[in-house]
Amino acid sequence: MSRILLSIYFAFVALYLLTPLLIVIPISFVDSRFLQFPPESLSLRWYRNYFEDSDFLDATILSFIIGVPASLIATTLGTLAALGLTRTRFFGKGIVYALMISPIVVPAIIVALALFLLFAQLDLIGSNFGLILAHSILAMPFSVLIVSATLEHFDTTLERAARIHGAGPIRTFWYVTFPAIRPAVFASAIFSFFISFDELIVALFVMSGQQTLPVRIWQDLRFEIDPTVAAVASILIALTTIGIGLGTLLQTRATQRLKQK
Amino acid sequence: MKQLQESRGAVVEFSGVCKSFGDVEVLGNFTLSVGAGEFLTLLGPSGSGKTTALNMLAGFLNPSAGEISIAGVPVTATPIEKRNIGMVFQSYSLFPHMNVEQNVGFPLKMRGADSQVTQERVAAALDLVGLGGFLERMPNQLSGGQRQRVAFARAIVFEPKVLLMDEPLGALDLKLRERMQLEIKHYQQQIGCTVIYVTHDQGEALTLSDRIAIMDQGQIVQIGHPQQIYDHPKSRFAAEFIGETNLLTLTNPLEKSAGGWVIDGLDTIYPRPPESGRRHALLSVRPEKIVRLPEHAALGNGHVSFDATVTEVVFFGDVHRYTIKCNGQQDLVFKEFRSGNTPVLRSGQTLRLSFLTDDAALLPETIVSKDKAL
Repeated sequence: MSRILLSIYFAFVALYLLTPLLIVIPISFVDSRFLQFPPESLSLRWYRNYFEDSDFLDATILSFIIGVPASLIATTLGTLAALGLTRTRFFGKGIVYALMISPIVVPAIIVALALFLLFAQLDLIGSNFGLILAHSILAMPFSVLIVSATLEHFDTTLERAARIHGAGPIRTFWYVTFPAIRPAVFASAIFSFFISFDELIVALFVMSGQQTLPVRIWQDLRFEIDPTVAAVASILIALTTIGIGLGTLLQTRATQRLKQK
Repeated sequence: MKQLQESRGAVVEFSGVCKSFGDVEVLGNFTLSVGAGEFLTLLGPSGSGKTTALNMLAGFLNPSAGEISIAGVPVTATPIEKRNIGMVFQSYSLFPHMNVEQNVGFPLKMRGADSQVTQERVAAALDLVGLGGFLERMPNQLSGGQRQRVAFARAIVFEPKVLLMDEPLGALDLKLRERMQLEIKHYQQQIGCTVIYVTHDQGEALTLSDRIAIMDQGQIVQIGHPQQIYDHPKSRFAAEFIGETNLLTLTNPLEKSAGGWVIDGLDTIYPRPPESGRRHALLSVRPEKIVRLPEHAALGNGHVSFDATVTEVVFFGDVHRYTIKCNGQQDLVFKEFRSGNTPVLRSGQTLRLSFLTDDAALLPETIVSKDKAL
């Protein structure tokens, strides 16, 4: 009985979370010039429009140019931080951990404002490099969380076994530790990429002129609402779902593999 | 195989090694010399410092004071990977993403051995442990005993002069553990390397070791050949930790005419002259040293005999273990191999028992405290 109730509850929560998407996806297939729900007739014209609109394509490319390096930086730093935090005990470790996680907790608008003020000083406003740094800050907490979750299950005796049998610290990491956490690191890279790829507020503050995909969508919504936005949004939803799904799969597998032992 | 046999052990020395974690001293002035090719076991309960000593030799921990040397060369400043030590861990610690061949070949790969040499040595090491055909298997496809053998092969494949084993059989079931004990002993004799073996299992220590160092609270309380420790424990701790024993309290009668110590509760004399100034002592008597006496048998001087009542009989297959009461108070245990002409005793039966004076060990402690459980 309680199982059935729980299932119904779950269905409601899932529906609640998915409703906006369930509306936006049908809208992207309309044939009319206006956002229309439910659509009266279906077509792919707004998808075609997206692939023919150079502004949208440039914005998409820029999002990749920002997202890939941001993900690499966030994942590298996040993995190193996770290693450091799970391996050591020191006074104030809790505070360091909280600071690492804080970009998740602090409202995005505050982070955006702070970065805007800082970047204005450093002359980084409008530069790709600036946005890459900003996005890696936003993504790093997730990387720390994902990789430390896996490291909790990693048996450090394996590292001792590698060391005593002739591997120095770097080769021990490369041959023993990294293979064990590799799925989690990949998962973290995927998550980090999509955090950057979906990010609007910071991009609005620190980019001037150039537009990432979310910024482009935002501009579009403000000035000329046509269903291209819905098509782009649907593509973004599809990409994100696949990416995050893959990331979650990788991470679950990593944790289970280590737990098995 | 031929290559493996050429490897010989190195002398390992701990001199005045101390280790503290914060205010807690886990090892105090630990001094031990292990001969080349010797099989030495550090035996003790958990928290006795045995694993700490091993971890310092491996380099996983740094001593707070003192020096450790291998073949006469101090190693405390040597990085772990340069110590050239093999090690078998309790949890096997095979690399889960590598197959058996890669696991065993790992130490050679780290040493830059060329692939043909690696292949030959890996094959030889796996042959030694009887897993010649298992190259491609992954660790999770192996049984516990097989993983243990692979871990052993990995630890010896590069012919280390020193091999450390940290409770390597702890995770195996009893039958397999007994078989692996014999195998380990057999391999070690073939390879000839120095082995330092850590365990809390006294049976394992007796079976495997050339010498046993019994540890308690960060100190070696006794070191010696297994038989010597078993027969002549120097302390109550050693007597109780290795094998089963009966502890009897001795009292000094303070008069020469008594002819020795008085054994409390047994109404008899232990015919050794008490040291002057000592009021009490403890006597350790192994259960199998106590034997039945034929009625009215005449005994020479070298015996202690007493009357007892059987209170419990336990059958172990090869032996019977009897609990007996003497004078209605002291509980003792004695063991007897089964044989055709000795009838099994029944509970409630009274009889006369004896042990040889030389078969008992006089301990320095003075009181049997009943509440101290091991």
